[in-house]
Amino acid sequence: MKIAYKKNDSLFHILHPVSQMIICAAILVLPLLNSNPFASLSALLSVGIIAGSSGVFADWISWWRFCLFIFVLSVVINAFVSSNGSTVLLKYSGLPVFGRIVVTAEGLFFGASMGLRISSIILVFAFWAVAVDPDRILNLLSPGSSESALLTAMTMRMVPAVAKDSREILEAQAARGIDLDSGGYIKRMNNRVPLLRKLARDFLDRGISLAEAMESRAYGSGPRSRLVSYVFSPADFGVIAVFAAGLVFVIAVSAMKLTSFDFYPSIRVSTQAQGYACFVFFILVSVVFSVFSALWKNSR
Amino acid sequence: MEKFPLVEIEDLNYTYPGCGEPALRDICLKVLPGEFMLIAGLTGSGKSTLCRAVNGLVPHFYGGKISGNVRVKGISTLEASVGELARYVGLVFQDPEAQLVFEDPEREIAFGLENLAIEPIRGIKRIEEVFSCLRLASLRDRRVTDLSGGEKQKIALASVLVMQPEVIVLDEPTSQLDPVSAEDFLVTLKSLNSELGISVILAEHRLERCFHLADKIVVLHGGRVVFSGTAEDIAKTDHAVGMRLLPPISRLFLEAGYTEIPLNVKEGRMILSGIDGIPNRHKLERPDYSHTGMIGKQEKNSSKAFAEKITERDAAVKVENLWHSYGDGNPSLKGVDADFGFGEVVAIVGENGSGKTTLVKNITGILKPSKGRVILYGRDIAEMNRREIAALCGMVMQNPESHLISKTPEEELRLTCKSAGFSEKETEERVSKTLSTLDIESLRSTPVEEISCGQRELVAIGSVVVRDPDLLILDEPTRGLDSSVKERIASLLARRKSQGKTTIVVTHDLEFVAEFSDRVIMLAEGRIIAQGEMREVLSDSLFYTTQYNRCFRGFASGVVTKADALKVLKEFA
Repeated sequence: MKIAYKKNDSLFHILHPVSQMIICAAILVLPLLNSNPFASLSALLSVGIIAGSSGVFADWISWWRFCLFIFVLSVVINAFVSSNGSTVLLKYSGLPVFGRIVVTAEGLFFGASMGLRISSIILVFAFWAVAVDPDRILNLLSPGSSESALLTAMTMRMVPAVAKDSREILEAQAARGIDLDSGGYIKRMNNRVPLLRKLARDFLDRGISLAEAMESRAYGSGPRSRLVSYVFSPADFGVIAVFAAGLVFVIAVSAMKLTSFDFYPSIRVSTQAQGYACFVFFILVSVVFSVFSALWKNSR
Repeated sequence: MEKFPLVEIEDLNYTYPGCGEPALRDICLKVLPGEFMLIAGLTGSGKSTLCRAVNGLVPHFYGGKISGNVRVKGISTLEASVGELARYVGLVFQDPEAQLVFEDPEREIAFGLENLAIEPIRGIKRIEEVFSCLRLASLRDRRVTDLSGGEKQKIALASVLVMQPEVIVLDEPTSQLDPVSAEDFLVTLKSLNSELGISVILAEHRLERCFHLADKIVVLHGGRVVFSGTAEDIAKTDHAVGMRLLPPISRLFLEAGYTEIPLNVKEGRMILSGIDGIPNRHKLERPDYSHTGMIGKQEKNSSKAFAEKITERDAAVKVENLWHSYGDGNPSLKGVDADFGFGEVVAIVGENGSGKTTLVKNITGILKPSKGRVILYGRDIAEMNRREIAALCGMVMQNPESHLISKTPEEELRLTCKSAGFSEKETEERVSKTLSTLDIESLRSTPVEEISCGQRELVAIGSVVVRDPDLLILDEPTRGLDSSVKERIASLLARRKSQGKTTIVVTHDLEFVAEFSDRVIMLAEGRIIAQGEMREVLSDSLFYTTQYNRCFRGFASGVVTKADALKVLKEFA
């Protein structure tokens, strides 16, 4: 799973950080506001197309295992805990912990939809992690709010650092014969408790060191200037106009319940034409963006 | 005429919150404009705390109890904030990773200027000047993550220098760097001091590279100043702490009974050139290495040639035509052939990125060879599981922190024993023996966070050694450590050797290599460029050799260790 930003020569990478934020926000809002699986699919396709045109597809898709795990977990948990739905597939009583379970087709479908929804949200954040330069975001936010900028800097810098620490700790433990992956699931989880404690401690230590280094260079001592500034290009205006329109569009159709999708008692697609139009809009816009991205690259 | 000090410390006492013992006691110091002050002292002597007291982090960031006064340009650091003091004092920290905020070097350098609200037109000019002054242009388009430790530390220095401080304080800035990067960093620092007149306060405990740079040396011990004077003064002072901090070459001449004490190799050679008889009696001889494995870089299949020469000998570990590539497809190891005999201490040396750590990780099975094989005590490692490998071989990683996942040293060692399946009785015996061997018995129940870096290295070593593996691999065990910790590691190596157990040490510390290794393997760009007996490999090297060898080159051949050098010196004393 790649979690670090990758510098690349693409149209997305040269956009103003505000434009990048608007693209990600617009796509993120689709599954966030809608339980409709078409909305999740639309978000998934849109972000995948943009990731492809930005040259980070391999890094982005490296999250698929984690998303598949979330998807399966969502289906399984929902199958056990929800007995709603009219199409009963399985009834069983006397199961430890759960007692009586009723597995319905609607329940399974709801679980799959929620899994897809969570996965699409995760994948939008995954795209953000690998394609948006944290330095640019920190630079954008820092003059306005010291605390939020500090938090952003720490979080975005810490995640890859903690991943590296985690890898080093696992190697060091293996090198002295401690196998954290031995035993059953519970034992493996227990094995990892000291590791997690260590990572949490390292995370805090790194945070303190970074805060100390920032304070030593007068961070938070007064008003700041901005030496590195970003200029909006014509491409930025186009991207902001289209994706902001998409953002308004999705908020409007969601508020007017034009994207409804009922799972219980039986599956009923009550999505209106405007809802479908919204989903298709994002996919089309992403395709157009990737075409412009290819043209931009060829023109260089 | 008395000069007005830039930094003035008067009767400074400081205790960290929650600590009973003061970290600094009765410190009185003055730093003059343009002065280069070296703060020396063993681990835990208070160097880092003193550095932080100069820029106000102590007490503003840490809290705690403070008395006395620290003034920078007449401004009391107790009254001014860290931000205000940042205009006058720049602080470079020990760990280059932990102090960089941005991934883009240019933004990193701009960060301090933005915090001081410097307007763009002045700020951009300053950034360009710093890029040019520190010769950082080639790093401009790279990401900080991709830079070497030395390059990161230079970016950290640039990001402080750009704020145009009057004094730069550096807290052990080279402790995490390899010798080449450390040398480069210190040369840059000295040129800033001499050409720009910026005062420098440098805290270090590996002094051989910076001793001669300082105008004044202050030695701390237990939070107190136990010596303050010039480098020449300290060399003449019979002070136990000071003596341990002297560069190897100075200690050598002192022990040989010379009154004129050199501070670096150059001065040592000048003294030697004045001794009657040395150049005439000891002709420069090029040793004959035909019987050993010394191999030229140009020789085709060089490391294989050596491996063929030693096939007759029994080897605890054999590495055959080993190749390894990481994800990027570029091989980090290119057909390495080597063997490691029973009871041998073998040092692996070479510049950063030469494949040293990759080689030893392949030997322990942490990494899988792309091609070739590793034979561990007669078995191909590819056919062994993790448990079987761990029973034979243990490795202490470069960063000891990654070993320490328990609360106390005792728990750390017990964790290894538990994993190995030892009984409670055997565990107790092994833990006690290991803590005692490494001389850390007193730390048995001390929380790991409260013990020093050097002691943590020893605990990390203990967490591996408690299993008593037949093959022990130490990756940079002496990096950033003072001589007392090195001595304990050295005695461990000697003990293992006497038991017929093999030890591989990956290191840049060539004085350590010379004293304690039997053989040396030198790597460059994933290939072995030389391997053989320690003496032959090191005496034939220009850079990868000891200070003694550099000093005596041309005066006496075959001088590699301190004992060799002492013998020659005493002969002519």
